[in-house]
Amino acid sequence: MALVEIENLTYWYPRGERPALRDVNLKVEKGEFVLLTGPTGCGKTTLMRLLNGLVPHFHGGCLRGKARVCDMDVVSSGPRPLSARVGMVFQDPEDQLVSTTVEKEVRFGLENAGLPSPVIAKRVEEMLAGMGLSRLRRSFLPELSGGEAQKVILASILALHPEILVLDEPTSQLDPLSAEELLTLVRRIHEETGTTVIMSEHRLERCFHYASRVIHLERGSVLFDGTPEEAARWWGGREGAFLPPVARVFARAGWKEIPLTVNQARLLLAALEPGPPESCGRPHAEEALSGEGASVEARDLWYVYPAGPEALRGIDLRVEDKGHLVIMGENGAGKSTLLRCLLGLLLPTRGKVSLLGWKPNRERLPELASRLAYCPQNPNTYFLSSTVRGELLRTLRLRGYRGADAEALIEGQLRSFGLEGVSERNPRDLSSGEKEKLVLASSLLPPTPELLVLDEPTRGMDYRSKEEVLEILRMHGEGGSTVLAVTHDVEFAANLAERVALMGDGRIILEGPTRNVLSDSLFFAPQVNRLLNDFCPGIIREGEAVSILKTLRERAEGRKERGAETCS
Amino acid sequence: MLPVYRDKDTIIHALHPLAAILLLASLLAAVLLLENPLYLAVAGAGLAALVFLAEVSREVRPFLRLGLFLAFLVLIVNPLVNHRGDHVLVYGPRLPVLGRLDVTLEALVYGAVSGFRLMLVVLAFGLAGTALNPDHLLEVLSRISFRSSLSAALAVRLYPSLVLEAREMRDVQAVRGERLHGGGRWERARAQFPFWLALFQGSLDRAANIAESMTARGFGNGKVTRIRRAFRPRDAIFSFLALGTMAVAVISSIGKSDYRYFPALSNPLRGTMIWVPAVMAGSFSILVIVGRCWKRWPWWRSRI
Repeated sequence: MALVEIENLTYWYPRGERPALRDVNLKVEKGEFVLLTGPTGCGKTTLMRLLNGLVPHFHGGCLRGKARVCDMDVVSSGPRPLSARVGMVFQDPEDQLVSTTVEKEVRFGLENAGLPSPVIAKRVEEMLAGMGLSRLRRSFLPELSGGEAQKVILASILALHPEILVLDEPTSQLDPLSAEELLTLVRRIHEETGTTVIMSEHRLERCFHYASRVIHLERGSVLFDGTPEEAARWWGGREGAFLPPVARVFARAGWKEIPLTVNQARLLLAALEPGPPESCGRPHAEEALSGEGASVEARDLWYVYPAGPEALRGIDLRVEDKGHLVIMGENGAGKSTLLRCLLGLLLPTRGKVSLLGWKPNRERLPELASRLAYCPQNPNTYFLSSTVRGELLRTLRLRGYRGADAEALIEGQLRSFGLEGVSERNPRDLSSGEKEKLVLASSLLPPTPELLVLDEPTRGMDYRSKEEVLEILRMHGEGGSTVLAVTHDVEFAANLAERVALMGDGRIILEGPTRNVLSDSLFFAPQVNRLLNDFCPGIIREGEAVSILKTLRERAEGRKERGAETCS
Repeated sequence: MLPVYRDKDTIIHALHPLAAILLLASLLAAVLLLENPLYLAVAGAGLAALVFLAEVSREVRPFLRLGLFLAFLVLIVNPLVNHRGDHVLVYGPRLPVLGRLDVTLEALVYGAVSGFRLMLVVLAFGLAGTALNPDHLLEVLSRISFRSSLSAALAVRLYPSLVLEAREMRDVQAVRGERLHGGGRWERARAQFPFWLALFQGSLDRAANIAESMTARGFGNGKVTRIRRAFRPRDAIFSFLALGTMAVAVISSIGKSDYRYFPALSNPLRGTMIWVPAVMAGSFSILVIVGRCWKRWPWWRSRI
């Protein structure tokens, strides 16, 4: 008997214009590792909420069809009996933690289940030790890092010994290292305990290959259901494929066999006749702009938190006018502190900062508002209006536009950012991609800012939304603005910037052309670079990799054809 | 750094929640019920000793600053509204309704003592907030009212998130060009209204998400298991001394106080209840000795 059985299920949220799930038929067997893919708003979260009865019991709405989970009818049983058998981890750890300390949080579900005290004590110890949380057991939860908090949530769910573990984009709010750690943990749990795992995730390069099954949804319907290898073949070379970058480039280059990991891809290239070329030559590093002036400049910048660590230690950084610079580095490297000092939100302990020719400070920031735009990591902190249109109008008013002029500009911006359909919706109700697009649309309203500062612009975004944001930024860059971004997303940095600065321990470790900085690295290199760096060093963008792989394929096919002719 | 609870290796942090509540109650009773400034000074010294014992002197600094500000406010305002007392320091003008605004020595001292009292109350809550495990305290409260304790736990949990979100929003809006602090009171209120509304909306969204997460983890399924914590000898010692201090404070407040501020100040050293500060000082000294020994001697720690 399947653990999950869904038949002809259609579901509408209250006041939903279209069904969130449409004619879904699905069976999941015990021990499977199912990866749900699809663009934001395709119904992944709704499907997962259905598995533990939150849909329709918590959210309301209208449901048609049948859903049985762990031999229980979801509609008639509801979330209470299902809570002990289906554990669910949501996106943002901040929205799940209930208690104040780690130990209490792990106990929360067990106490709710009414288990005897000795059993609770045993399971809490087991989880804290097993998940490496023992040293944090009395830590205050709001002070944990995102990765640690998400691990605590996972521990509190696993303590209930669920039959199905449901994870809804569990790494979307985490930095790459914490994300990697969490996904490795999930994989270990699946392998060692045989727990059925159903997960949705945007960082496909980290989990696609170890899923036993991939289900792709679009507009509430299941479009594909099969193994990861079948999924890669199904996507083929289509645009917007939900595949890891390495698989995507092989598919786009027209290869029949599509690898899922860098290692598989390297083996495939090694088996080529007559083998990969000795060298493709190194692409030239893009000419870095060396304009007369710098939009942002920091000289010997130090910042020491009161009674805290030295967050910045002698930073020298220059962002040329009209240049695109990305700052990368692990959590705690000092990226956010640097950004706050550059914007004048923190007063440096020592050193000099120049922002658009000004010495920045908080009081004078409104005077720079029409020349400077800042897109924060959490888009919700940007929104002060109750509609998308209102948000744009607010920015225009701050920039001195009123009346018909403002209306015309809003219409134009809504159109060019593809936000017409959501113009009357509350910004907080939009998807992550739409929120980021709205912040960008608002920031880039006329007069176009001279400097655009972005803090983790792709956090929680699916592949397609990322592409759209990149396209917007490229267009904006062509308009001649300077872009300064902080990101963990290596692929995004490779496609956006001409210069990259790597930070570590409060210092700039390396700063230079993107191609140089992002090559020859294990963790700060895009997947395509790790794949091709041995014989085509300096390849960092998918487009470049696709053309090389196309050439290799054609060469191999040509050789095969010539061989066949010789034989005949 | 937010002034919140952080686990530390001190006897105060290790107390049973009931003993911790009794300790807090005894401090509040002493501070609120005692009139004699000398006794109040002893209570203040006791509170300072507990802060030292809990190793939270840095964490309670914001509370101390707030307390000092409030104390200063009371010190300034009290002599202006209270004109009782025999020793006039400054003869003020005569105003309609209010009468003559004389500043007396007695009103000034009374204001200073009231301000000091207020500061100690704030500091006592600062000690409770930074050194007493909120989960453990709320476990005790949950036996009285489960829902209230859960609401309190969520409030404690979400307060730092709310403060951080407010800070982040303020920064983002400053770069965007919003002037949240300029202009007159009306302009400021108008500018800040959307900010507070957005913060409130964010809190509601978070509350809904947490409710969903709690439902997914079986909240409201029925009978909840309650954890019983061991009541150790150290808890008994602290509870006994806390109850003693509380009893002394209550007894000294019943009947006629031996200290008067008006019409003239009494001598704080001449009273019928000079044993009150002696008992309190003794209690606090024992607490400090027990706490220091607990920290220094593993054997003693294992015994109590």
